[in-house]
Amino acid sequence: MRNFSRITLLSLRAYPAWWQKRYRDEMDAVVGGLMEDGRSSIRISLNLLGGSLRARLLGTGAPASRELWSLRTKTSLLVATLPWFAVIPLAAIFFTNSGENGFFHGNQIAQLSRAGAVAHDLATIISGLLLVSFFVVVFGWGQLRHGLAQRDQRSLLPGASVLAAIIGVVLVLITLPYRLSTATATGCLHIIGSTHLGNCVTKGQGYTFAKVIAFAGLCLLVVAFVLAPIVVARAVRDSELSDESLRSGSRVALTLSTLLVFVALAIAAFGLTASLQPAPQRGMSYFLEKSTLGGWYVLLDVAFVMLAVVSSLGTISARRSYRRTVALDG
Amino acid sequence: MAVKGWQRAQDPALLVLTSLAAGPMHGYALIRDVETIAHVTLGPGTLYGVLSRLEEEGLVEPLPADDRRRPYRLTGAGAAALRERLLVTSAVASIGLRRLGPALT
Repeated sequence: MRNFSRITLLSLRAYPAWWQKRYRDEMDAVVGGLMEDGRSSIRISLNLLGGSLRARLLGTGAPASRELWSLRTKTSLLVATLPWFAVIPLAAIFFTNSGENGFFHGNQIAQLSRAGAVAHDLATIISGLLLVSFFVVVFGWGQLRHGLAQRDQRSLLPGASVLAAIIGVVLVLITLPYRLSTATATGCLHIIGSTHLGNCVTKGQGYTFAKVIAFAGLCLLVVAFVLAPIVVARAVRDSELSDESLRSGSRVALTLSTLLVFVALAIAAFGLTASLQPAPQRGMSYFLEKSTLGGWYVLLDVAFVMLAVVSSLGTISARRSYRRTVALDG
Repeated sequence: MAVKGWQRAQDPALLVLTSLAAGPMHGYALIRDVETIAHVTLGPGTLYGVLSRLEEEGLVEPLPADDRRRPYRLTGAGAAALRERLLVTSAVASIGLRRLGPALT
């Protein structure tokens, strides 16, 4: 092994296993030669990283083995669809900060500007797209379920994930009838100049019993959401999926990644139009007139764009790998 | 002469095939040769991406490795594909030059 910089070594290791087996020795020799010429190791490493991404995405030069291409298809399907799990908490952040009760709207007192009206429409479109994505995931999972291997009885993960989700939902639901905010009329008068608790932006100080239960429920939901992608990934990778399941999976991946691209675009447009809304007036609901995320929309949208890009790359790889898998069957 | 921007020939596959037309070469020699003939520096990631694609399409083939360096050579199909591509490029070039002729004088 030559004395490469750490970043160059990492870039070489970023190539898939089959690539390493076939090309690693000769690539080491080429990179060594270029280093001896005094070429920039950063430039070489970036080029290698780009090459490794292409190799993983397109699989060009991979051996003609059905097992390998089927595994590539399954891995790509996971890369394309698992980002959906990360979309859920991000969407929750978006909706809890994008207007009263997750809705960006005006009333007789606080009229929305033209930009605000567009933001309102975009929020509706975003919820519609996310709802459709939910049904796509449920449909896709239903299609895939029959092809999955029998669950490993020794593994506690699937059961733990489902249990955490059920208890979490129950805990959150039983606290809903109780008021979670401890805001008082006096506190609201001090902050917004109005005693109307519904318009009070403060979340209140301290914790109520219901609030603690609700937090516990939310924590369990987070645990369920962290475990679910691991459970799905293990189940899919351990199963010998039929061509029909792979085809259905690649269609679901295509639909889901397209939806995620539209969601990312709509949220970018929402952030822009919401920021054009005039500043809220004292004494009126902040939520009615202005999103509370402000400049954080940029970060939120960057996160959505990244998820959409990862999902799209996974879809490209999945469809190509599926076609190759089927060709190898013939 | 320094060659910049769009004046460089950009298609790495064409450059690699043209380079291999001179005879078998290993990766490092290919990079140096492409620099000489086209003023383009191919990174190792780009080069092996192209080589793997050309190998898959049957246009180049690897020869037994000498130490860790593995030479590649053009196949018959590769030579035919290169000839066809260069004829098209050459035809476009001669038309372009003929059209530029009166303007230059």
